[in-house]
Amino acid sequence: MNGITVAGTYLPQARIARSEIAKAHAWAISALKGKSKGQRSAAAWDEDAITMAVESSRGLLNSGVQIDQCVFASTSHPFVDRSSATIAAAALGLPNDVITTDAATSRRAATSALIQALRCNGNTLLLSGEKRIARPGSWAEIVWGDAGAAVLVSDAAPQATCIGWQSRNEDSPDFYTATGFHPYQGEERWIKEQLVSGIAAPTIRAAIDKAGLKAADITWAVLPDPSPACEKTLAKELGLSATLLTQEIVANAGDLGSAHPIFGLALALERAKVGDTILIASFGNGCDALVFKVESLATKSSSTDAQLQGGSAGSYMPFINSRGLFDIDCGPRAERIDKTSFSVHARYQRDITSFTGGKITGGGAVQFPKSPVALDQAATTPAQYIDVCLASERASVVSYTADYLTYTPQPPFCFGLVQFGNGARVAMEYVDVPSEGLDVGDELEMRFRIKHIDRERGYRHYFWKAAPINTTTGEQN
Amino acid sequence: MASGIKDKVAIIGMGCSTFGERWNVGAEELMTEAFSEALSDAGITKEDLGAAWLGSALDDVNIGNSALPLAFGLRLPRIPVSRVENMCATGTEALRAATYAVASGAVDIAVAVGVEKLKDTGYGGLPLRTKGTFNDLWMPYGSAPGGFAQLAGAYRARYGVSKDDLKRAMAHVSWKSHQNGARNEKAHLRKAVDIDTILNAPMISDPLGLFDCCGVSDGAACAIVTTPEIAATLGKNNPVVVKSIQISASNGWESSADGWDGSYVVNTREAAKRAYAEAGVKNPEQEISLAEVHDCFSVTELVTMEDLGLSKDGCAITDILDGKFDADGKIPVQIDGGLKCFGHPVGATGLRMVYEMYLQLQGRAGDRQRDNVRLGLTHNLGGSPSNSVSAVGLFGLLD
Repeated sequence: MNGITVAGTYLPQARIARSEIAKAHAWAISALKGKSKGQRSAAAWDEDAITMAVESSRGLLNSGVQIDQCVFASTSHPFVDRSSATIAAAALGLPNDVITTDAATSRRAATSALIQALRCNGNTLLLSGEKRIARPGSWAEIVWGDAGAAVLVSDAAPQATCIGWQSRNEDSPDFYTATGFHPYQGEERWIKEQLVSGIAAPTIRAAIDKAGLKAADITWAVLPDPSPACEKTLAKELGLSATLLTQEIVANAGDLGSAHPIFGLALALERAKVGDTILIASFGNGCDALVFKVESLATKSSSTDAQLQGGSAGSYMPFINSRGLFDIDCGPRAERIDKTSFSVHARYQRDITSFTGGKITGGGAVQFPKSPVALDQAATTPAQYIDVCLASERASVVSYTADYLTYTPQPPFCFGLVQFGNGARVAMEYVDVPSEGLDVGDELEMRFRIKHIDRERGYRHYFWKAAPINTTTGEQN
Repeated sequence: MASGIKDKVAIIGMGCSTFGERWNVGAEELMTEAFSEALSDAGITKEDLGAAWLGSALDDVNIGNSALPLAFGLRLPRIPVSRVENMCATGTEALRAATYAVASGAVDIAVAVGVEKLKDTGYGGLPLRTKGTFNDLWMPYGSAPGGFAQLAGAYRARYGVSKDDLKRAMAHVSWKSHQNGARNEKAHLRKAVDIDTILNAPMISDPLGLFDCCGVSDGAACAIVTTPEIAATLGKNNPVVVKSIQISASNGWESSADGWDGSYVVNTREAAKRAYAEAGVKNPEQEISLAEVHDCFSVTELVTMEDLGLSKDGCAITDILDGKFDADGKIPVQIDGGLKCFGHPVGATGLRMVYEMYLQLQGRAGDRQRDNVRLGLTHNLGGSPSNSVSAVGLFGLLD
């Protein structure tokens, strides 16, 4: 059976204090005060489930494992008919013959896909990402968080092997989101006392049994927490003495939806010792539970920990505005036409989405984009390029400004010239810029982001942006 | 080896509309305003024209494609008319085309008209434009001030200049132009502004504040050119002549390869080098009497002083603060108020600059007139510092 070769996570930089959300709605919804502890992660306007999942997985491909399939799990796919997995595969530079599949419509999407990946032959890159839009003032808005998480499932030097799993489908929704509607939740006590106790607990117990373990043998546990105190109640009911990770994740980033168990698995792997056992479970229209045994610690990292403890304070108003929940008047400059030409996109999408430039045969400078005649080519015949990916190339600032005139959902619009270590130079947008701005020479790394959203047609175009290295939040373990 | 156009083409008439928020007129009226003045100044009729070029840059809120609006607007006598566009060098490009037509002997008399009707955008800025269906897939959007603000940090890094010192020099650039513009009845902004107001203005694109940016306005300008010989038959025995018009355009090196540090404009240096060579200018700092440069933003003018050789590299801040380019300085720059006070109706700007040189060389600039004007320089810079078209023109008297 396949195992987990490597895992990765990504949290967006901004954290919104729950107390700020509660305060904004205190005039109408005083009950939110009781949920105002901690903070939630907040994706920027140009981040979505795809971009965050891609960021979480970028370090996973260094293992040299050939990917056979790429599966993308989310309940917040940006498109109903445009494959998230295919966009992610293109961004990661995976070959065209990799099978791309999307899993959706359940918070169990990632764990169900993980079970299948573990059972199948071949190597799977499993990505999960969530940027779920909840109604302002709702429990979901305050508790949820945005994130990406990914695992590489293969038989190559697994860090953890799955020693037991159980899945149960049960159409008893605790919570649902209908197309075109905001999320809707059932009664909290009923969820905890009937659904979690009646569905989750026996499913998890069965997985532990299949692993040949007793509940007390579990070292780390990532349990579902669909209503307050479910994690604690469930752990008690199961007799777990494991270190519980969900509340820690919720306190610092939020309930991460389908990405939550994968994120928790990565966190547990980061903290675990060889021989430890990890339980992850997801809940929603049933329950999935998987038990892993830690086999090796290939690369010790504290990236997920660092991300949970890191980030910078975000504000609530830009947060709801960037999610389309608060339609402020951005003036006529926001009337820009952002229609993407499909045929132009088709011609260049591989280079654009994976940020691939080139150099001409026989050496020469790397350039992006590839032009018909290379910059350092004397001849005027079409150049033959050797592909050079810039996505993982370190870079530095040549020039910078914070532009308050150009429309962007989260001003200012920061951009400038970026110099890559391999000689390429590209005009780029900067993201995650600290308030003091950037200076010439500051080191940068690349981030996969939404370049622009065509609001008239609901289309979004992806490209890469440059972020200062000091604010990096997405290193992989 | 090309012999160049020095002294081969005379400017026999020029016109310039009043620039500003011309709510009550359209592009056609603006062209007519400039053309009528030029025709009267030249002492010819439109039947004498052999060809016409129209410079107009932005289709979005303007006159549309082709040069027909020029032919229609001025009711030209079925002569060849062409529209040219080369970003902010558009007006100069129109003049270059007319000048080359005359220099080649293809026509006796040609006219160049530049116009832009920017105030019909519906808001206070340039029209929003696509960068092209492919470039939009990767190139960052960014405003014009955003593009030129890039110069500031790169200049500071190269010369170890503090933010405050650069900002003060930039403020002096704008202060000086507002002083000059206040004396020009055709300028859009005719109010002197104090340094503190400039320094404390709202930020547009770091470090450019509101007063570091040129205005947005409507306007048109026009030049009629012919040979010195024909000019003489019209009674213009020592006419203003074109000494050189040179244009340099980026080939992608600045923005695609490692080498340029972003603190200067490659194309301005290249266009200036060629223009000085064509005009026989050996020492621009000593030989140029006046300059109208592309002060779309204060920092642009600052680095342009070095790019044109009017300041030594790294010395523009000192020269500016010492008043070298003030109205009473060694080389007045933007003696008419510049883009800062005229605004920048793109197609008209290059010709508007030449208009001031034309007046100064003939001693017709009123209370802006400088003594002993021998050689005037005009400069345009389109695009952004990393992807630019730069034009440098030199104008003097035939004798």
